[in-house]
Amino acid sequence: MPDEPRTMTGHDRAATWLWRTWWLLMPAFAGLVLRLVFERTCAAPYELLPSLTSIPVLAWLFAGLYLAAHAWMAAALLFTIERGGSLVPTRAGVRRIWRGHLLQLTLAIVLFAIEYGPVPLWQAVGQRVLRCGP
Amino acid sequence: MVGLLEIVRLRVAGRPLLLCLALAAAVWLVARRSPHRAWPASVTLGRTLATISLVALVAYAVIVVDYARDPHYVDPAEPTMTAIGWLFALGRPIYHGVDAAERYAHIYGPMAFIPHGVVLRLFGPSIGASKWLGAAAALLSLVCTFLALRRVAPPWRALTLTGACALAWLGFRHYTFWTRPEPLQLLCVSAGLLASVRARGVIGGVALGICAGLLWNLKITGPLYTLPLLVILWHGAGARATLAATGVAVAVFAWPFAALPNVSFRDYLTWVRLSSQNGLLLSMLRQNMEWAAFFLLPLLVSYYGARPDDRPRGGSWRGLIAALVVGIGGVCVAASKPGAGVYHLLPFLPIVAWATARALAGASLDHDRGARVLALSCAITACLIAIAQQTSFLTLAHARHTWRDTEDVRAFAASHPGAIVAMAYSGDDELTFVRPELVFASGSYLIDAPAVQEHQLSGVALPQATIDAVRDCRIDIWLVPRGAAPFEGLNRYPAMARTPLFSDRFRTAFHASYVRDGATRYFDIWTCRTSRAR
Repeated sequence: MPDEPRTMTGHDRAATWLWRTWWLLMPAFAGLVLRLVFERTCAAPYELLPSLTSIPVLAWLFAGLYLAAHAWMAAALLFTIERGGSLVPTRAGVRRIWRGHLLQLTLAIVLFAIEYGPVPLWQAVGQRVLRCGP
Repeated sequence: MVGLLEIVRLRVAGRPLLLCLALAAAVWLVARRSPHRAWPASVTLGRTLATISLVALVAYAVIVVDYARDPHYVDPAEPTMTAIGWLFALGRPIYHGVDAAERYAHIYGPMAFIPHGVVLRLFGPSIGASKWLGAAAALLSLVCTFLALRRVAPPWRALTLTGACALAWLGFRHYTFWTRPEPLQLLCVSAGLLASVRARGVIGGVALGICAGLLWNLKITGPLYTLPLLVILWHGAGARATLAATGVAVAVFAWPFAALPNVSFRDYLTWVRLSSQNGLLLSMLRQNMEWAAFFLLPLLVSYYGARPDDRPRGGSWRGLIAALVVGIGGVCVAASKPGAGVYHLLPFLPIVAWATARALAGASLDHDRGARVLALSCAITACLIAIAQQTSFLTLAHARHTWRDTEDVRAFAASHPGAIVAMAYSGDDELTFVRPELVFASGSYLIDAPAVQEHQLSGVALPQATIDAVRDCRIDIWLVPRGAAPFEGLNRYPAMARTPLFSDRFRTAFHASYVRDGATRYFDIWTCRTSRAR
């Protein structure tokens, strides 16, 4: 039997770290993701923010943020698996583990779903709904 | 069927994680409806994965040998390695200065070219010899991976994981056995892994140090690949061995620059520095991250699929995982530079396979049905991508088997002894892949189109010296693919918006100095108006 899912407590260092770094990373990552989605929808889908990413310092800054947000998501996933005792924790288990911070987790998942959504989908939205696009 | 596979290749082969998760959801639904609660059973899953891996190993070996036997390249940068390798063998510089007339310098380390030069010297200059180097390195890296895996896994599991590497590599067309640095990187990583897991004191450290130094000399990102290997060595053989490995690596890295007069560290750094100003592509970074997650999935499944008490723990495990994550993260960012890509992550696969074997040692996936479903989905995804990519690659490669362009160029060069013959480029540049044959004959290489393309991206235009060299007929005869306009190619980097690769001034100088003067079966002959070779 999988281990009984444990809840996140104020004394849990890993949980506290995740909660705090969320505020540090995710708002900026959300801004970047929304801008990238706009690029995929209304501009060149594979040449994203060319005027900014061709400047090395800015490119490294964006890449650092992007990488850090992914590291956060990976840490959150491992945390959930570890505490849930299974690679595929139940919905109830996830709720118990993330009690009090479920909104943060949900927002992060939504951001990643948007970022990793298929490019043709965004192009279709641009062409058919927003009437923009390359 | 081929059409369907092409659709799979174009639409989903670049999205392995999404495909895998979608398949996992489908397999999960099937598993839940299965009357057997344990489906997919651990034993059946093990046998299925072993069978897939064995087939992948055999297929990989057959495809590698098939590619090496045919004297045609498929990638535009493959002939570059062979041509510069031969220049090195002749004592010519690997990196020329920014203002030099020659235009062939790349940002690869010197070891990307030196082994080609050595092989061409040993076996005679030929496209075949250069292709066999990549093929042999790729096959040998699988042998090294298997031997390293045997330290932590029984034979069948080691073979299965080696086959899993081959399967993943098949998903990248010929990138793991082509005539570019990747096969040599794979060999260095797998041999380094073997050295670090079988290390006996300082000797093991020296062996890893040689591999690490060669890796650093293949690409500027080399140290990122050696991080996990050094951690394995540290925990297996101690601090002295690791110190020895680092010292030897630095010495091996410095050797070509210090000892070989035709390898300039200053010029190498100049080209690397120029290239580092090209920025990054966020779309490529996303793709790299997705592939990195897919490559790490087997490790995740094997670790968390085991019972908590059976999982590896302690400093050595944590250190290995931390080094692997840092290395992969760093390469993900570096490989989002224009012109790079996911294939830069491939050398990590032997290390991931070894870590997976370690996680599975003494454990099974009986504990977690989700782990078994994910493992199966991962295998199906890798199979789908490999089949789609290889069908496309083999169709392309085999279409060239009937070409006799190599013989054509060789015969032309032989009938013009003493003349310097070179290859000119056009929009359709596949026929120009045979250009090393002309470098073998003349020992001269003025213009490499992939290098010009890279230089242009870095803001380095063709210098006056190159235009003067063309105007002064430094090359007696240019061969141009039949019917094509000489030097009409475009820069294929999206950031360059398809600007002409060669400036109007360059083309004007060319047409002022050369005139079309007949044709061979595959090429038009453009001869210097004042040359003795006419």
